[in-house]
Amino acid sequence: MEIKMKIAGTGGQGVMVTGKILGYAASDHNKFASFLPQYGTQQRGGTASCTVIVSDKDVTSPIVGQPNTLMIFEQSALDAHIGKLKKGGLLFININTCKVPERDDIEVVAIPVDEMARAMGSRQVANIIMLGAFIKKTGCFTEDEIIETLSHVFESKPQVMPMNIQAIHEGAALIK
Amino acid sequence: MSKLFIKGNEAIAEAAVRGGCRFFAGYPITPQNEIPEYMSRRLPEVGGVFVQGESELASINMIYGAAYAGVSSLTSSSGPGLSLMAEGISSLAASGFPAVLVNMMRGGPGTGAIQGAQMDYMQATRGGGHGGYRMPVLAPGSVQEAVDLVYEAFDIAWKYMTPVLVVADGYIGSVMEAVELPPMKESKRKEFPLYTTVHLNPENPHRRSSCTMITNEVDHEEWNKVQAAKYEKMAEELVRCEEFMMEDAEYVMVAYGTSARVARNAVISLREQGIKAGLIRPILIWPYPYEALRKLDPAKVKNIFCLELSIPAQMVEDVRFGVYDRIPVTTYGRSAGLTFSEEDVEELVKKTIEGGEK
Repeated sequence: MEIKMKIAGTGGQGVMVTGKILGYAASDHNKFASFLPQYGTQQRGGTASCTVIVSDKDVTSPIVGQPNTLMIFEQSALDAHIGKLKKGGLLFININTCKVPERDDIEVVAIPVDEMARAMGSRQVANIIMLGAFIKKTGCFTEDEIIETLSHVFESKPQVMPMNIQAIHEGAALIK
Repeated sequence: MSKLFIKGNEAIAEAAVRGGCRFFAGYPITPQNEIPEYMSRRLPEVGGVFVQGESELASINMIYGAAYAGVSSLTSSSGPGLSLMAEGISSLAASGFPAVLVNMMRGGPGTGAIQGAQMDYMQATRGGGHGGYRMPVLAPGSVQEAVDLVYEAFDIAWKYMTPVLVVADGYIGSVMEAVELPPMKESKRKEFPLYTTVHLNPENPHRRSSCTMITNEVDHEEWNKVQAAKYEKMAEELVRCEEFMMEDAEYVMVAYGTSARVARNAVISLREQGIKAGLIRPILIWPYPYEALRKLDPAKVKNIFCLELSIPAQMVEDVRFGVYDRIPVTTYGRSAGLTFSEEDVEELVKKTIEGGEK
């Protein structure tokens, strides 16, 4: 297994956090990973993207030219990255903000993460719902593994854990 | 030992502390700000001192002072900051004082770009400051290697009594990877006796002066000879490079830092397609591993590719010096914070092969 992915959206959608969680999870569960944030002149509402590799073997290079997986939270980010997704690649999109792209050589997982997060009572967990779907679909981590990592990440604020656990399960439940 | 998933800049800062660093002075600049940020809270824990200087010039002179007081010291910056520090670095080198400097390279020249790049090769390897001094330049190819080299840099600085420069492209500073941190080393501390009237102390094995200004011409030249001999010794003893799949290589890439990581993937992929590719990766860019290039057989090696995150190409001058026109050299790079991918490198190599077969 080698997932070479880009995560992209706008600032505040949890793009960087999602990438870091995957890196920490790999470190916690005997896999290899790299997390490379793309820096620009960052601002709230500006674009945010990062490159994440999760692999069974050591990561030789953290630079990814053609990702095999995309996780996209916003239409402009989709427009910017869709052309580079490898043939046969996997695209996760927030269907509340993105249109399904016209490419028939990729697999699309479209999830209304904003809507689901609002229904759960916190729009902040939209990225965690996506993460739940992502780990289930790719099989890179089990729900228990990612929840264990989240408990380390949110060690200083355990009150957010129940909501995040629910988000992982709800995201994973969408993948049959 | 368990591994820690950590950002390059923070890993470098922790490695410096474990390598003995007890003083840091610096001025903020992207993409290295996590180094001073980390040091500001970490150094007091080990009895060290952190100062945010009012400028780069002030910071490097604080390093100069701390080094003279015999404390293992670190400063970090990025290209434009190193330019501002050039005067002080030249003074450190002139005095033969130990210190470790980090350049987390970004796009240049001028203000350039805040994203990572490899645009300071010439500045790093050809002095940067005035006066024709030399200093070891360590160029890590991953976060783990950055940790190992920064840790070792303090030993090199004390062994040769020289400033040591660690150059990493900004990607190594901002990427997060799992690393193994080395154990805490005892901080090296040495009191230098202050000579005010005798500029050169014959009893001091390093024969260093108390200040950079030697007014007696004969003494000054004598000191230059001592320094020159030290540069030659460093050039002999510190060469280090990695050769990857080079035994039967016909298409040889030369790259350092993050460029070398991309190149390595391209080598693996090209090999899978039956193309005999290889990689020479300098781990120090001064002294340069010329021998790795001199020993290449022109009857076997068809082309060399010098890959850098820099436009114009800079390292190519060292590559050409090693190759000596015996084998064609192609340069390729991106700049301004943009990177090339393994697919780009593969395409470059294949195009060159097709062109050669016509």
